[in-house]
Order: sequence, then C-alpha cells, then structure tokens
Amino acid sequence: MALYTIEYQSQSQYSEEVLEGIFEFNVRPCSDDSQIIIEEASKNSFMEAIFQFKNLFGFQINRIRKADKFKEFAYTYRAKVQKKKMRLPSKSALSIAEERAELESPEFYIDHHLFLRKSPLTTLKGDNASKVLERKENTSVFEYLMKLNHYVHMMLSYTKNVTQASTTADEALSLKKGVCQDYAHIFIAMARSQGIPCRYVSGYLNQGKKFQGAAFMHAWVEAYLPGYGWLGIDPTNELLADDNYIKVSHGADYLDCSPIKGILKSSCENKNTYQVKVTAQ
Amino acid sequence: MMLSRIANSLFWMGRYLERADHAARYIRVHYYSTLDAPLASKHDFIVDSIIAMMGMEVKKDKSFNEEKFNNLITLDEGNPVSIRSSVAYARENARGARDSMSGELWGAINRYYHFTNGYSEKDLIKNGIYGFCERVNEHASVVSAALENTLMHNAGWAIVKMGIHIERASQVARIMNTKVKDIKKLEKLKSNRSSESYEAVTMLKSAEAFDMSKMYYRTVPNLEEALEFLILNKEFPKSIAYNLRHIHHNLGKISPQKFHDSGSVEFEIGKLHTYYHYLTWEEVKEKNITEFLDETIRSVYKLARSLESTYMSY
Amino acid sequence: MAELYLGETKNSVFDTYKQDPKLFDEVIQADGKVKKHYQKIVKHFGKLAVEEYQKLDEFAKISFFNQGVTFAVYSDTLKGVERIFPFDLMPRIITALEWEHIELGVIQRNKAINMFLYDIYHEKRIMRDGVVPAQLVFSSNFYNREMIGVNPPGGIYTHICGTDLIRHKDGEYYVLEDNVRTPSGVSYVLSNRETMKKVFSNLFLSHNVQPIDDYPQQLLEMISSVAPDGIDDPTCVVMSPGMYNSAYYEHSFLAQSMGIQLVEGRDLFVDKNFVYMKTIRGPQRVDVIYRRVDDDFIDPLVYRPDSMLGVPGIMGAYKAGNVTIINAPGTGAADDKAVYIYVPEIIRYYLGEEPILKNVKTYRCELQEDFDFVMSNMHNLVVKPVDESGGYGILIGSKASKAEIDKFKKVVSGNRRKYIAQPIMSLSVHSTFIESEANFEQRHIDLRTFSLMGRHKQFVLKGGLSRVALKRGSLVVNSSQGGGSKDTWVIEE
Repeated sequence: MALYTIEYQSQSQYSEEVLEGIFEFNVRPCSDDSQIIIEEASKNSFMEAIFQFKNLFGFQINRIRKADKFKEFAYTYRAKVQKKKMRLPSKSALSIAEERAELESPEFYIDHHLFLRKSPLTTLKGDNASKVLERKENTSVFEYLMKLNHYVHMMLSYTKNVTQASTTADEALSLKKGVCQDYAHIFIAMARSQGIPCRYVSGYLNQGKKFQGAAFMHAWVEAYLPGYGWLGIDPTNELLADDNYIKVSHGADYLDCSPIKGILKSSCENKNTYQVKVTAQ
Repeated sequence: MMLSRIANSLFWMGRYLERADHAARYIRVHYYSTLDAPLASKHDFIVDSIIAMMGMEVKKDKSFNEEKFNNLITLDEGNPVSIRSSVAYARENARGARDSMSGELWGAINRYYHFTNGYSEKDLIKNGIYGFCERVNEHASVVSAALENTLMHNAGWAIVKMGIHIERASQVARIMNTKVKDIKKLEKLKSNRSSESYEAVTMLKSAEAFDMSKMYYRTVPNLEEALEFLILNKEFPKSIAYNLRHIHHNLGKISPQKFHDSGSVEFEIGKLHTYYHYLTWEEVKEKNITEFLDETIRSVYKLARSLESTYMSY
Repeated sequence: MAELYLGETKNSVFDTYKQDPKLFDEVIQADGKVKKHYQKIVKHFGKLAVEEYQKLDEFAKISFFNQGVTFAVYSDTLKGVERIFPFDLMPRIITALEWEHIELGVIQRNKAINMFLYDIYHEKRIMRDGVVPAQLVFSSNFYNREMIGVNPPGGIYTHICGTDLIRHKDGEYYVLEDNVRTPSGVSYVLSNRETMKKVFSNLFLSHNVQPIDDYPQQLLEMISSVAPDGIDDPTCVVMSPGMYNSAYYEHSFLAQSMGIQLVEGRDLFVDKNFVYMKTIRGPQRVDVIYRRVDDDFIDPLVYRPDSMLGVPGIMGAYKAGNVTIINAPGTGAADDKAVYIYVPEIIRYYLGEEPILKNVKTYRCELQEDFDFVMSNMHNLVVKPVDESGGYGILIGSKASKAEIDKFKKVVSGNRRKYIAQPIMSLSVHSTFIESEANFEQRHIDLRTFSLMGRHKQFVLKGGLSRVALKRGSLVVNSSQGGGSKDTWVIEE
C-alpha cells in the first residue's frame, strides 16, 4: 500500500487580452482496482466554478469557462491517492491457442475496435511499417509484449524538446528520439498491427525513484492480455506499470489524454508552463 | 430577439455609412473651396486638412502627386479609411445582417457598393474627384431614406441609428478640430482675418450646416458661432448635443431596464448627453477648444466601446 | 383529344429534337409518342416559338434574381460574383403512382439506415451477426466514436435525408447515394416552384400538381418534435458556417421560412453543458440546432481544434441530452459509399422486408476479387471515393483516356478502402432547352428526394430536385460541375 500526494499546476500567459476562453483538464487520477482518491481539491485563478463531466472513456474532465477578458490563467489540482500493491503477471494466462482464438474472434474485434483502429498518431508508414516487431506463431502474447517493450525502448533515445504533442509515431521513429508519448505511440502502433488491443495511458510517476520522465506527466500504454485484462507497460523505462504508476486516463492516443485543452478567442502569443509534484508517504 | 453579432454588424454598418458620407462631403467642400480660396499655397493646405480630418498618415515624398492623393482617399482599397473601403465595410456588415433588413435598404446599400466598387481610376480622372464625391453623397442619401422609411423603428433600427449618431458626433468633432487647427496654421502664415471667417464657413458647409446656422444667427456665422452651432445647438441634427441626445434616446429602445447602475453604458450616455445638453457657450469658451474637442471625441469613442461590450460582443 | 407524337409540333422549340434509341427518354416513347403524363406539357411547349420561349426564360431568370436565389463565388478580395443556378423551364413529371413507389422506397431505406446507425453505436448486432463487416464500419472516416452509447432524442439520427435516385434504361429507379449528413438543395426546389408558378400559372391550372410549399412547416415541426425531453416550446436555430459558405443562401432561406434564428458557431456558447446564443438581451438557451456544419467542425474541444465554425463543448451538451443536433453526429458512417453496398441487406436485417428501391451493383476495391475486376474493367466503370460528395474525385471510365485510367488505377491501388466502382448507369434523359442550340435536346437527369424523420412522423417532399447535366452526353449532374435543375411535378392523373 502506497500513499501519494500529487500536485499539478499550470500557468498560461498571453501577450494580449483573450476575449473568452474555455479550458479542460484531464489530470485527475482515476479510480480503478488499484488506486483510489482519498481527498482532492482544485483551484483556478478565475475563481470560476469548475464543471465536471466524464469523457468518452469515462474519465472525469474538469472544465473552466471564462466569459470575459483575461491575460493570464493558473490552475492547480491536488490529490491524495492510495495505491495498492499490484500482482503483475509473469506469463500469459491462457495457452497460445486460446489466446489466438480470443484475439481473432470477430466479436473480440467489435468489442475492442477503439484500441485496434489506427489513428493518425499511431500509424507507421513506408520503411517504418517494416520495422514492426512481428509476433511469431509460438510466442505468447505476454512474451511478445515483453519483447516489444524492450524493442521499442531501444528504438528511441530519450530526448526532450525534439518532438511535440502532435508528433506521430512515424515521425518519432524516423527521428529515433523522443519522450514518453513517442515511445507509447510506437508501442501502440506495433501492438495493434499484431491484433493486440493497446491504449495510451497518461498519469504520474513516483518521483522518489529514478524513472525517466517523472518530472512531468508521464505516458505509458495498456495492452490487452487475454485471460488477464489490461496490462500497464512503460516502454520509456522498459518496465511494467506497478504501484509507482498513478494512472489518470486512457484513450486511443495522446489526443484523448492531453492534460490541458484550451479554446481561446484570441490570436495572440501564449506561454504555457506546468509542474508536477508527486511525493510518496 | 436579436443576436449580438447581428447587432454588431448593424452598428458598424451605420458607422461606416456615416463615415463615408462625411469623408466625401469634406473632400468635396474643400476641393470646391480651392477654386476661389484666398490663399496662394492652397492646394497643399487642403491636402493636409483632408489628411488630418480622415485620420490618415501620409508620407509626402517625391512621388506624391495630386492624382495619387485623389486615388488614395477615394478608391484605394489598401487605405482602410478611403471612401471605397468604408462603403465596402458597410456592405460587408449589411450582408452579415441581410436577414434583419428590408430588401429596399439592402438594395440601396448594394447599389452604393457597386457604384464605388465599379468606379475606376480613369473615371476619377475624367469626372474629377468632385463628381465622384457628389455621387457618393447622393447614394448615402438614398440609403438614409431607405433606412428611415422601410424598416420598423425597432431595436435593429435603433442600433443602426446609434452607429450613425456615434460616428456623426465624432466626425463633426473631427471636422471642427481640423478646421480650428487649419485656422491656426493660417494665422502663422500671417494671413488675414478673412481667412478665419472663410474657414468657418467651410467648416459649416462640411457639416451641411451653413444655411441653417445663417438663419439661426441671421448673419453669416463667425468662427465662435459656427462652433457653438455645431457643438450645442439642440435642434440641428449634426450637432454634438443633438447626436448624444439621440444615442441616449435610441439606447432606450434596446435597454431592458429603466433604472441604471453607475458604470452601465446607459448611465454613461445619460451623464454625457446631459452634460452637453446643459453646457453653455460661455463655459466652452473658457476651455482650450481643441482639447475640448479631443475630449469629446474620446468620450464618444469610449461610449461606443461600452455599447459594443454590453450589447454587441460575441 | 388526339395523342401527340414528336414531330407534330411545327416551328417550335421541339423542331430539331433528336431521340437516341439507346436512352430512356422520360418524355417521349421509343415510337415517338409523347408519354401520357407529358401530353399537355409538350403540347403547350410545342406551341412556343424559340423567341417566345427565350422571353419566358429571361423572365424566370429575373424571378430568381429577385428572390435572391444566388450563390456567390469568392476570391481573396471582397468582391463576390453572384450567380444563379441554371434552371430549365420544362418540368420533370412523375405520376402519383410512380411517386408512391419512390416514397415508400425512400422511407423504407431511411428507416433501416436509422436503425443501422443506432445499432453501430450501441449493440452492433448487425456486425456480430456478420451481415455488415465490422472492419468496414469502423474504418469509415465518418464513424464517430463520440456517438457510442449516445441516445439521440426519439432515437433519430437521420432527421433530414437526401436520397439520390436515377432511372436506368430499364425504366427502373435505382438509389445512387443516401445523403444523410447535411444534404442541400431543398431551397432550390422551393424557389424553382415559385418561379414556375409565376411563368406558367396556366399550366398549374391544367395539372394537378402536388404542393411542396409546406416543407418549411414540416421541417419546423420535425425539428421541434425532437427537442430534448421536457422542453415544450423549444428554441430552434439553423446553424451555418457563415455567409462565405456556398450554401449560405439555403441556410438563410430555411431559417427565414421557418421563422427561426440563423446563427453561426460564434453566436453560441456552452456553459455547464447547456447551449446559449448571445443576444442583445443576454444569453438565451437553445434547444435544437439544425446545423449545416460538418461533424469535424462542430466542437473544437472534441474534433478539429482549429475549427472556427463550431462551439466548444457542444458535444458534451448534446451527449447530456441538453440540446439536439440535427442531423445527429456520426450519420456519415451510413453514407460511406462502401456501406451503401450493404443497404439492401440492412433493410432485410432490420425490417424483414425486401428493398423497394434497387441498389446499383457496386464493387468494393478493398476486396481482392472486386479489386481485380475493377482493375481490368475500369474503362466500363464509374470509380468513386467513398467519402466525398458533390461529384468530386470520380472517374467515368468510358469518358477517360488510357493515361487517365492508368493514373487512376494507381490512386485506387494506393488506398483501396477509399474507392468503390459501379457499372456506368445510363441515366434517363429529359427534354431540356439548350441555349446554344435554341432548341430542346435530350439531357441526362437524376432526382434528389428530401425526406424528414421526426419523433412520430416521416415526410417526403413530393417531387424533389431533378438535376440535369447540361453538357451533351455528360452524366455529371452536380451543380458544382455544370449541372442545372428542373422543377419536379408529382401529378395525379
């Protein structure tokens, strides 16, 4: 059992007055089998009421709307999260034949199409398409995922500021550089191409450990392991997501999980910064 | 029920229509006055006066000539205050609010637009700037008649009228300000008193106020009288006081409540209109007139912004 | 009354009318006899000398101009050139009996398509039962995941549907496309009729033409009927991308004729999952939005973040049931031209009925067998992208050069999911006045029907838009590509 205090802070400054704005934050740890929020609070510099709703995947989004002019905006979210010790698998739960039967059934595709469908951010083209790690007949899904985790981990060198939110798996793979979300997108592209449902996860990392990417919001993936369910995998650190990983939300790719979205009535320059603090107790 | 965006379009349609009309008349009156003005270097003087009144910045370098200048103030689409630009903006705004006006008004604005838009530089050289500006003023009259006679005088109409009165008050103040400065310039050139009274008449003519002011004062007004007439006269539709009163009146047609908090646009216009209503010429005389006129223009623009942010922002 | 044959009208606009025996002529039978329901019309037109006809034509044009039925073509400058759509004075006539067949067929199709849409966003039974391939549905660009599990008021997705029909040389009607996103053109139907009534008032006296002018009322009733639950007197609006959109005239026309507000995205905002419009009297709640803005642009928080046309948060308000969007987002999954292939199966599956209207045989380039066939027979086929409208991006094999075909084969091979192919259907022809020839000639036509689906009522506009390809031999009727239109009469004989 681990107890975390999480703080997410974002600040935006605009060169001119913005006439109207609407912001959405997807930074709240979700509640699932392994974690639960004990207390939480959020603040915004507009002092506006926060409107909460659930997105397509059932995660809570905090929305703030400002109907008149502003030049800056700050938002803070704090939560205490209790995380259970997780029992992670060390092999597939089913036989290879059973796994195949499940993954290849038409019903399975219908029920998991959102995480099998290609999206612009998770499509590999041309040369890069040929770099996909193929799953051999006698490789179990679990074994394959572990191999893929290593494979993707080795494909990029962790480098900040060479990719952005809009960088595709294809572009990152060509660059051979990137950050957590690029690792995640490449992993997703390859797993899906092998018929394994895979989804993008955003969340926080325990900052007490020496993990890559812990200073910011982190991204990893969840792949579907027949007979087990969704398994968290972090290709950036080549680890399985254990109780050091506090999940916020998942989706088909980054676009479903971006921590902040803003639609502004303005055409001016803006500067956005954010900080994340995660402390284990 | 009217959308704020439509209100905004109607308001600016009114403003641009009025702006084009004033620019054309000012140019026309000044062009005409060059013909027999008592000043040798009159052409330069008039060019500067028009530049000041229209609020442009023009570099008079070697390539500058009359033909270019005439084109700049009338037909140049790159000049946002040229007559063609103002009419095009008026028409774009009218198009956005097409569904809230009569076919007659839209038709009149559209014909006005097609006239300025179809007018070529060649036409301008052939017919002279006077001819063009005269036609512009004629089109403006036709539009104005359609506005008065083919719309219900409801909220939409009141908004167009507020745009017109705002623009008119500021344009007339600009005319006065420019002419007062023109007169000072002439004094420096050691010109005689006769040019002061001549420019006072030009000022009145630029606001179509010459005949009425003559009747009112039973003589050709001097500069002081001309200013008094254009600032304070309660019955003449070009005066500042008249226009402020009408903005106040028209706002009453769209304002939801009768009583208004300080800080509201209703409060602001009430205060401004009353101030000009009870202002006397003696009080104005004690002030520096150009500063007073500048302050007037600022107050009117501030009022326009408050109107926009209260009723027309989207 | 003696029956009229072609050639019996002298010194008239029919003097040089030539009949191609390979084509199905709507007006004149193969033996030259004028069809029964066209007898009176042809007699009337047959009395008109060319000059007289031209005068009427001019009169009609002025009528369109005065109604303001124009579309504007814009460039970078402020100047918009306003044009009227070419209009042909000779009406297309459909007998009431024939119309009944069309109407039943169109209603049947829309019902089934609506059930299909509900299903693919809920249980997905039709895919589980293997009737429509899941892969096909989920790979459609118009499959809108935000609609998964959403229940539109009344279960209605396709409130307004524009079904395109053609008549083949076998005399049968075939459905060419189901336009269930934001079909346009109905304003032209109504103004065509207005103009015809002015030009040929006497013809209306001698024909029992079914009226169409109740369409705006029907539309408003339908729109109001699907308001969110609990709203008795809904505020309904038409939402347009703005006056630079080529169909702005129609948006404004529909709003005006229904007596409701025409808004743009920037007039609306969402606060706490409710939609409001900004008025001079402050925010006013909006309950139903007939939007003429594509799915991708309606909500920048959910779809394209760069969209200036939409309203941030509107999808959330919609999913919460606080506002109705017409047509529902995600309907495009049903008018993907590859899904079209399955519509007959869709009808059988949900309704247990045989389709009343026929489908055109269609090849899915994604399937190997079909792809091979298309590659070796492209010169005899029409090849179309599955997700475009307006006649864009299509290749008519018989009219294309070898080089064009070779190039197109590469395009298709590069993106097989995107293309389907159909045999070149011989659209029926109709007498149409050709200005350059100063006479009537045969021209190909199609028919776009307009149908409405409300909470308890379906309505099909009696007639619709007959579009005519004005270029000789051309099969492309789209207005963007040199097409014109005709008034369409449904008559009781």
